Amino acid sequence: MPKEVFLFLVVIVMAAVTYPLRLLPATVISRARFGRYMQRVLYLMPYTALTALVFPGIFYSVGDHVYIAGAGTVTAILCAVLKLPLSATVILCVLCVYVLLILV
Amino acid sequence: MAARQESMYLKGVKDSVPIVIGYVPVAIAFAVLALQTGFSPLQTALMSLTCYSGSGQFLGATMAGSGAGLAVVAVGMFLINFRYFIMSTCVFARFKALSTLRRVFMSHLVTDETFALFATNDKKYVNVPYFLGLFTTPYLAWNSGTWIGIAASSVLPENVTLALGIALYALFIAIIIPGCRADHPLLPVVVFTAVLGSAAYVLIERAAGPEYTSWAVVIAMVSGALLGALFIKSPEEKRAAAQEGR
Repeated sequence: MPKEVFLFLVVIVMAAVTYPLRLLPATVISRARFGRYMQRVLYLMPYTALTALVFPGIFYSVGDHVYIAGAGTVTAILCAVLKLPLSATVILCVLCVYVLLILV
Repeated sequence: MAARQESMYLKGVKDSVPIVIGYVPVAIAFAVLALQTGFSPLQTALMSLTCYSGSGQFLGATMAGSGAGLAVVAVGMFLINFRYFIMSTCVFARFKALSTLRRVFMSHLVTDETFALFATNDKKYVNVPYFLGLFTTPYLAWNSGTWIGIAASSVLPENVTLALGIALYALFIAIIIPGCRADHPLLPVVVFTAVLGSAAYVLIERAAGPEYTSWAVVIAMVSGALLGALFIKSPEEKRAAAQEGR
């Protein structure tokens, strides 16, 4: 399969999997009933999903500059701990990485 | 009535501003990454319109770029976006009467951030104009950011595109950390997931090859949630316990 066709199929598959996940609870299942344990799993899943995406991916997010990415990670965690708004955390983290890229 | 609806819509737009400011740089970063991975500008723009999931698009683009098959992409997408199932349930359980057509369009706009704002808001904000203000503005921002990224990717200095690569991760950290505060004892679960994810990544990369590393994400997120659920109460349980006056 040519790469262009394959990547087009990837886009379609991504939408075909994602949209029903949003649509079904809104239409068919107005109030899904889950057991106590499953409710806990569903509550934790967004946090574990994001965590698993960040670690270790974040360290490889600035090309080969693992240490600069590490500095960016610390910046983002500090911003979030200090309760800065989402946008400030993102902007300061990117800025920190950018400045370090220029300096190093 | 019309004036009230308009003010509700504008209030929604106003409340979405922090989300918008967070989305634009991340969308630019996504577009740059997708183009680098080999997606065409049209495919990249289409993905933002039809998938509209920061972490999902990021994962999908990375997986496809590392040579994963369609089935692996589909499984990864299901696992990473399954949370929308729960979020959409929470959002639409707040509406009493709503036409199916509206549900079909509105549900596509549910994201981590819009859900978090809407689900924790006062009841007086559960109406269609406010919803549209809060949910459509980030959607426009996400897609505009993608187009900006596509248009600018060739002119952006290398250091800028490199630095933007961390933007999405910073947004994720900003969402995770508030859950780790004293009233939500999630810190052990988050640390466990991070350690397991990193260990699984290194092991899989050495044993199977870099094209399989996206499975580390799946293994860590599922294990973290299944184990954490043994001892962490859901907000529903806490609410029920509080109502019983304990």
